[in-house]
Amino acid sequence: MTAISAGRFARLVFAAPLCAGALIATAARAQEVNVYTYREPGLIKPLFDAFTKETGVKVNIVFAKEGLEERMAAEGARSPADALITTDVARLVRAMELGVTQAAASPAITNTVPPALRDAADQWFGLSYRARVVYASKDRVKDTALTYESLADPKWKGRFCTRDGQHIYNNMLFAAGVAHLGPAKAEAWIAGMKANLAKKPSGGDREVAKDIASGQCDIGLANTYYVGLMLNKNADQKPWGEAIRVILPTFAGGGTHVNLSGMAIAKHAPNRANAVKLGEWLVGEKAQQMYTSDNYEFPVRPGTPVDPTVANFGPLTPDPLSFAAIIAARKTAADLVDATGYNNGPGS
Amino acid sequence: MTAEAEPGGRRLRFADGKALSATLAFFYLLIAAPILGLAALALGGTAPGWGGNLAVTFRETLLLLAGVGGLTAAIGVGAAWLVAMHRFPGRDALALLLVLPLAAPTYLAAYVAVELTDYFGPLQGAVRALFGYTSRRDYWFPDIRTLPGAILVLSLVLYPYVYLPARLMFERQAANIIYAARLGGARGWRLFLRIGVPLARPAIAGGVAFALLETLNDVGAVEHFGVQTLSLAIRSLWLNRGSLPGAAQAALACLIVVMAIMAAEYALRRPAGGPARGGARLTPKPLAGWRGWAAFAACALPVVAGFVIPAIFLLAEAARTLRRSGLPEDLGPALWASLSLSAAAGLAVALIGGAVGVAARLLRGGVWRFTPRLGALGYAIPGSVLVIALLPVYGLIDDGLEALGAGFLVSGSVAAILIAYVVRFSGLGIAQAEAGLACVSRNVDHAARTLGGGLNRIALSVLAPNIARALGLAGLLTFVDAMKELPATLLLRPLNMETLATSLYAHASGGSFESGAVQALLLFGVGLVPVLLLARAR
Repeated sequence: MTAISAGRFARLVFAAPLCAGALIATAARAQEVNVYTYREPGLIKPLFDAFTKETGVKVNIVFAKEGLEERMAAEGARSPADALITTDVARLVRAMELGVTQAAASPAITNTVPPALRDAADQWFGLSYRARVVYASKDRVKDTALTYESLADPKWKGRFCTRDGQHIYNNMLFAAGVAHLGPAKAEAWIAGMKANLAKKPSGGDREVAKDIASGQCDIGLANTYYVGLMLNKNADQKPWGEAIRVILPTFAGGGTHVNLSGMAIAKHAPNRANAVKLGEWLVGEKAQQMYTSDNYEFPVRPGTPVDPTVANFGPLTPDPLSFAAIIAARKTAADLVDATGYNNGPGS
Repeated sequence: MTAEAEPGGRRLRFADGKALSATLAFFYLLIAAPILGLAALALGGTAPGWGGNLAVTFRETLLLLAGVGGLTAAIGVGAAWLVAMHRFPGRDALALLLVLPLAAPTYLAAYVAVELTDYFGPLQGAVRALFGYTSRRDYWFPDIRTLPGAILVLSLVLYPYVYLPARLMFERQAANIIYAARLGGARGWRLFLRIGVPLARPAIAGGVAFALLETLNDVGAVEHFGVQTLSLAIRSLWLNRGSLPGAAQAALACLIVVMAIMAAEYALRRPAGGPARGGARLTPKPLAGWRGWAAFAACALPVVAGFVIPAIFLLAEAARTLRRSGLPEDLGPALWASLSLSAAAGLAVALIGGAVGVAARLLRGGVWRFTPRLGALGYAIPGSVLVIALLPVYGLIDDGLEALGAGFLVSGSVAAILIAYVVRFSGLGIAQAEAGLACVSRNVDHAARTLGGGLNRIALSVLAPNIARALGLAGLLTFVDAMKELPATLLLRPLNMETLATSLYAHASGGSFESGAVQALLLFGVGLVPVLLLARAR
């Protein structure tokens, strides 16, 4: 968001009717690229602005929270979408399954993004990733290393907090647990975590830090990037960020659960070349640096130095489990959250 | 043309009326489209099962609905009674202010409530400062992120749906009966409970039904509060269990529940003795001394909690955002998009409501009389599922447009959003049109006919002017609702278009809705204009 003068604001207001007059969906035009994105505009706009400045290609976006793959499928060959950018790998796979993607076929992308972070058939590729980790109270938790399995340990009884167990962040983590442990042990694991809950799951990931800061919980599950956002981007939330320490847990015999935000080229992309150009630019040095310094994520491009806040978490060993295996276990994870009554909270 | 005997006057029945029938047929198609889309989706596969938490989901949904229903009715009817029947300090201002919370989207109210009452909010901060506590474990404080919290917060922004019609009912239609009861010696609580509440029954039923449908549709607020509702379960079926067919089946099941609510509402809405005539206006009785101040406090409480405090909070946050980063760049276009879309929706819903209401009154055949019930269906499907069901329908329309060489598409255009709004909100227009028409005696139709008026003439020159005010109300209500609408606007909008609601949501979904405070404040502020017009409706 940038400051604008009152005069400019007035011009915007009066110019708006002209823009809104364009009732018809725009199709291919020179030097444009149309992106459907689940990434919030606040995070992705600075990247797009920098891309436009360097290449002269204008980026048009639609941001939504769900249903963009379905919209692309319904629009079919008429779809103006050139690319889909998601905040998790499951949506990329879903888009691929719906048949709304095509291979990027770009050596620049293939040579940059490690094979584990892109589709074998080139239908999607990662842009950045984050880990789902433990936030622990600096004052009340001494542990420095934990396994995900140990979160079911009764020593955490009445001390553990998370958001909704069906939220995609938890759903993916629990699915990774199902893939590692098998359904029976995973059920015991989820039931154990449920028994440890200090309160009914609610709020978002930042609320986990907030509830730890307030003393309602001692540990909780949340994504890494919120730490950087709370500490550096929001004065009100700084105390929340300062109250917690990040522990990078691992699955026994595995690594830390990560999720990918990534991109797919739309099957019927009217501006295919520009979409590929955008993809190549986003995995390039400058954009990858922005992903970590502005949004505190892990860059997919090897050798990109991570932001100091992120580096502070310690060395990350991403879980070697394939994304495909995690996605396949999502339904079971969702069923187990229901079966254990995870969302009903403690004592239910 | 025939006349059919019916309670409440003989009906005039036209067999012809092509224009009106065509309007209705078009409307039918519009309403049927997402339902057919949903059915097609539902047939596309088998449901993966609802998991093991169905009982809790149903229990929490029902408790939430019961709580919101009870509380909106209590606040809405109570405040309406006090304002309509009495004079007390600040009454005239409060009569207007009581409508204001309507302008707040439910999820915004939820975020603000959590922000204000959580550990780091001003309330708990004051408690800690006062008693010297240092941790949340040192003291007890009600947690807003709970089912009771959700009931309270949702009720505080939804009660105007009950307050508005209840007040109108007391002030206008019930005046004669209340006068008679007063003459008969009924006073105070007795008058309220024995006469007031039964009289307001249709208004309560209609208002509560809308509040419940809004509640059932919400996902943002309930997720934040940690309440497990049917809408969230449907979303989990679709997104986590990868079963859009399952979600569609669940949505259809949900539709049946809602139709039951609508049927109950319809049964309760019929006034016992036919439509009451206007005429006498109530003279409010003064409440002296402490009673007057108690009435003031009772009416001021929901206004302060539902409007004043959130507005002050948003003002403060907006001021901070402005100081930090100036006016948001996309504010002008977003404001315009919100205004124009909502105005268009209001106009369309009012026109369709009028056409359907008039057709149900004048056209021959039972089928038209059933039509008005269909209008509510769009309200009954969870918003995000409704939108997904509309997508393939738009695809079909575009196939047709392309075949005709029309040169434009519905998908990805403003038209896509508008159609969704009409599907969603037309029930508002129809309900208001029906209520308006109920106040026009059928004898008027006959008189007009005797004077040589045809169907169109009666519809346009006789009935339309009589229900213009009711349709205006419907348009205003739709405007307010469309300003707040999220799922359809978010997913269907064209490239680069933001409305105030989507822009605010973009900030909220990033976890810091305060940075969208300017948009929130504007959304609130613009919503106030129609809300104030609504409050002045007589």
